[in-house]
Amino acid sequence: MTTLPRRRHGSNKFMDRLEQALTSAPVHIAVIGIAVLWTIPTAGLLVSSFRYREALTQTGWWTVFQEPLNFAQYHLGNYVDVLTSQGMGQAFLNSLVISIPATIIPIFIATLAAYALAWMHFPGRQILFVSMVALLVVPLQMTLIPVLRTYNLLGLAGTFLGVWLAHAAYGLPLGIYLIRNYIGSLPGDLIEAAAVDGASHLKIFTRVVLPLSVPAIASFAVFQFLWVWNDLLVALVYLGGNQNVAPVTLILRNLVGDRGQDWHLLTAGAFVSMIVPLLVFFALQRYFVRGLLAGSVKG
Amino acid sequence: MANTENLFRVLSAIAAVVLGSGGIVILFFAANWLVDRLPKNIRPRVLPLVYLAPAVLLLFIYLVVPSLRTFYLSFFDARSQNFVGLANYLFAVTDRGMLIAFRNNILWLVLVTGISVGLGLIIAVLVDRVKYEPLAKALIFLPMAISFVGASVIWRFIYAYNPPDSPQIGLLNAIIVSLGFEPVGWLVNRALNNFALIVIMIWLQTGFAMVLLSVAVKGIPKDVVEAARIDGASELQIFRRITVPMISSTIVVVSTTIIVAVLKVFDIVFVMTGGLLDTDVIASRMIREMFNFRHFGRGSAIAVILLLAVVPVMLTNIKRFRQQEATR
Amino acid sequence: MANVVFEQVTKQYENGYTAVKDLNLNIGEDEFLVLVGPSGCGKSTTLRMLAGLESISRGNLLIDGRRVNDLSPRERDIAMVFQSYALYPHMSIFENMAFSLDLQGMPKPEIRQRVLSAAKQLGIEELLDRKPKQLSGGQRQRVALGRTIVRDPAVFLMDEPLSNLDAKLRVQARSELSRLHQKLGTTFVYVTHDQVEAMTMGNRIAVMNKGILQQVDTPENLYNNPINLFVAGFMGSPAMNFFQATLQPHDDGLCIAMESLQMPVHADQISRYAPSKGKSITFGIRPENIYSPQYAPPGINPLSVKAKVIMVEKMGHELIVYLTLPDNQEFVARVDPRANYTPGDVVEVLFDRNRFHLFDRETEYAL
Repeated sequence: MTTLPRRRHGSNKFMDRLEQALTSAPVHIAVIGIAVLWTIPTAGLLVSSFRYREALTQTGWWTVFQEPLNFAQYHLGNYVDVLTSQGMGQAFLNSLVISIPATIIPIFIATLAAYALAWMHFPGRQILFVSMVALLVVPLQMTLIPVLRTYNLLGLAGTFLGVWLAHAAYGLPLGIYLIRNYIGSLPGDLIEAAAVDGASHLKIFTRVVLPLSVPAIASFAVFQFLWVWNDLLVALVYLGGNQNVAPVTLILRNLVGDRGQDWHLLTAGAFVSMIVPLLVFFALQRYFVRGLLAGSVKG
Repeated sequence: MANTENLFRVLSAIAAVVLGSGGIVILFFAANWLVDRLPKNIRPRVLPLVYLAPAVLLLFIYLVVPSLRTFYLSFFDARSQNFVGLANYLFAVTDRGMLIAFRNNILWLVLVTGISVGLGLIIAVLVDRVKYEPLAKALIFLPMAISFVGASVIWRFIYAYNPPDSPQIGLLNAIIVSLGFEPVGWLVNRALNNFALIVIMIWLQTGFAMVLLSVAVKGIPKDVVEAARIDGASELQIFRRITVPMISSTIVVVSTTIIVAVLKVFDIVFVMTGGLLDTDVIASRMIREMFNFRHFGRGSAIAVILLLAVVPVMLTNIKRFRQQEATR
Repeated sequence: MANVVFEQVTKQYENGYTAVKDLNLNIGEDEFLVLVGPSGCGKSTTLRMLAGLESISRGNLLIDGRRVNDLSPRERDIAMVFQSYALYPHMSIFENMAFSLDLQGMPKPEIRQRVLSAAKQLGIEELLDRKPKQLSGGQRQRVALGRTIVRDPAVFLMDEPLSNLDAKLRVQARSELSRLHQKLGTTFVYVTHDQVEAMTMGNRIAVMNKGILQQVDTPENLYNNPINLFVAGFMGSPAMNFFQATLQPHDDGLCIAMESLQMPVHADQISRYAPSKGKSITFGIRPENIYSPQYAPPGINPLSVKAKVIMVEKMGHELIVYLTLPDNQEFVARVDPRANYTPGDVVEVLFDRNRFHLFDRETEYAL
């Protein structure tokens, strides 16, 4: 601020501050305004999910702020209802069962491939890397019909294994790209020092490269986990109508279709589906941003 | 009874997670162990295979082969039995529904990309000057973590419509009514419904644009901005003539990324309107052709068109991104 | 303890570039051999071939009589200190030093004992729980060294291990390394581009240039009898002065003739240089063999030379004087600090006629 040309000489500090506050006021108004605008939809949903069924259909959610501390207007019944009778509880478990392996499998496979592509010597490794990353351009819609047909033949449709492998494959190009770039930028001396210290490729990988690649792996993990948890398309196509294995997104979308006017179920259901990604987001925002930065080429 | 059943469910879920995640790891170590038993001279040649085979196999089975197969199927009829030449493509570019989908997609592309990037840029610059920057950014960025389905429910609630006499529970209609207008059926009115859907995507993508652009804005050296101030530039001139040109490559990367995301979005349309009332886009149309109409030929053809639309955008994106990496 | 033999070893990269050509070198047991040369001369490639980090295109590499060309680093019984130290950032100092032993499957108590004894030797016991990031440059260098000591390898390899230290620490580390070598009595192969390090530490020095080994010898011999123009110019700082000259007959003997200077060859040396009579030569004399007349020591065989002073650098313990001959050939002298020189003056300096070097200008070999 010291480089700002001073327009008035001899004015007192108070006037300076006032002027600064006045000129920066529009900035504050704009920033706060947008932040509030962006938050209202989610906040409204959260408030509504605790309101009674009748109240929801008769008055807007903002009316609770007439007496916000009147706890009689809130209850947890919608959550109990949606978790038990609507299958959201099972779906929540299913989402976890789908997302965790569908995150861990591609991490492992991508890290292995990335290590080989970065630090093993074999012919054609650059071409292999480029062609793997080039697969980022393929929209997964391109693959749905043939994969589904194969799944039907093999009995993989409607199974967790089928979804895990599909998600793993779809996440691989990005994962290999991110992790290969990171591993490739580790100092070559370290890898060589480990080799001189007597480490085989397996030991170099597990004892040196893997622990050092945690930041890249973490950002890919956050990315992939959110992607899988939030996915509707893959679940819809490969799991079909099998309610026993359906994740939260699928159940929620069925709720919208079947119970479109039952706001008490929709709001609570939506929040159940959002709670995990929101927690992941707030806990691991740092890694998420890093993943976005590196992975903003994902197609 | 219910308790033991729940316990069983949770236990089987845990078992599935452990099996699914652990299986691949065990496979790898087994393969490594086997390679270590091989004669020394061929070991170095086999070892890369152990590391690469899982990735190569998965990519082949799930991406390469199916894509080629889809391309092939796009020349066949609904049941993939008879060769029909370019008929599916002809359908895709002449059918009224498809033309509307194309029109909508262009609308989506222009509005979502333009507004998300523009707004994201403005916020990125503004937010740099306030003390509560992390909070403001987190709030705007937050929708990125929400699924398209979840976002659709959130916005269905915003757009909710009740007849004029009954109280409005949708925020938007409540505001309109309180201003003395008739409530509007946002998702039903053909003139408005596309825009209503587009707003959702903008809400989701602006945070993404803002975060990336903010990193770029912060990357501009302070002394360049100060030099411009000393040269007599106003804040607006600094924004237009210093900030924007200096982060142009990030703007391109962000824009192309959003373009690709928009091209592939189907969930919002699928959940909100089911593609009815002239709200289809290419990606949702493709899913409908496949699973509602069971016309695999047309579905495949639309998928190919989608790929053709994505390729050039992704190529520029990757190219620009590599340049940016190289100069970082 | 092991000897290392390079037989006709060549490293050629896929793009055709030859980094090391037909290297023949025999490194004795318990020798401290320094590989020295300008950057890109092939010294690091040589070391990396010895380590097994770089494949060998042609020739044989023997450690203790065993051909190791196709052995991986871990099968060679070598340890290496890297220029960047290459400490594992995610491991504590203890874990860094224990890593190789752990990989060998050595029992924990023995690992512990070895690491502690190495740490004690190097005075880094109190650092064992820290991470590399928390250490100073000098401490990291010791850890890198400690990591090799614990292994008790047949050959120690060092790739410019002191180049990241500041000047003062470097001098200290130099003597410590020499002492360590004496104590361990193991083969050391040490790569550096710094000829002071080479001179002070090596039992023998191998000078390389452009992938070719120029000369291997003790530091004294390398300094006194450089085999060619490159070695003469590389060893010594400031570098040896070179003048264009011809070897001409003079009375009964020979004379080194320059445009502005005639220097009769001493009678004892006439027989040595007689075969080269009439050749174009390069005359070399080191800056330390040029004296200021007032402070010249007794026992030199002076030749008075008139030259113009261009610039003077006062180092405190000596003066570095830049001069030119009337024919504009430049040279440098290291003289007594009490001497007084002013730029622009034409002064007299003394060349020691007992301490000069002659090289064939065409082949660049010493005569």
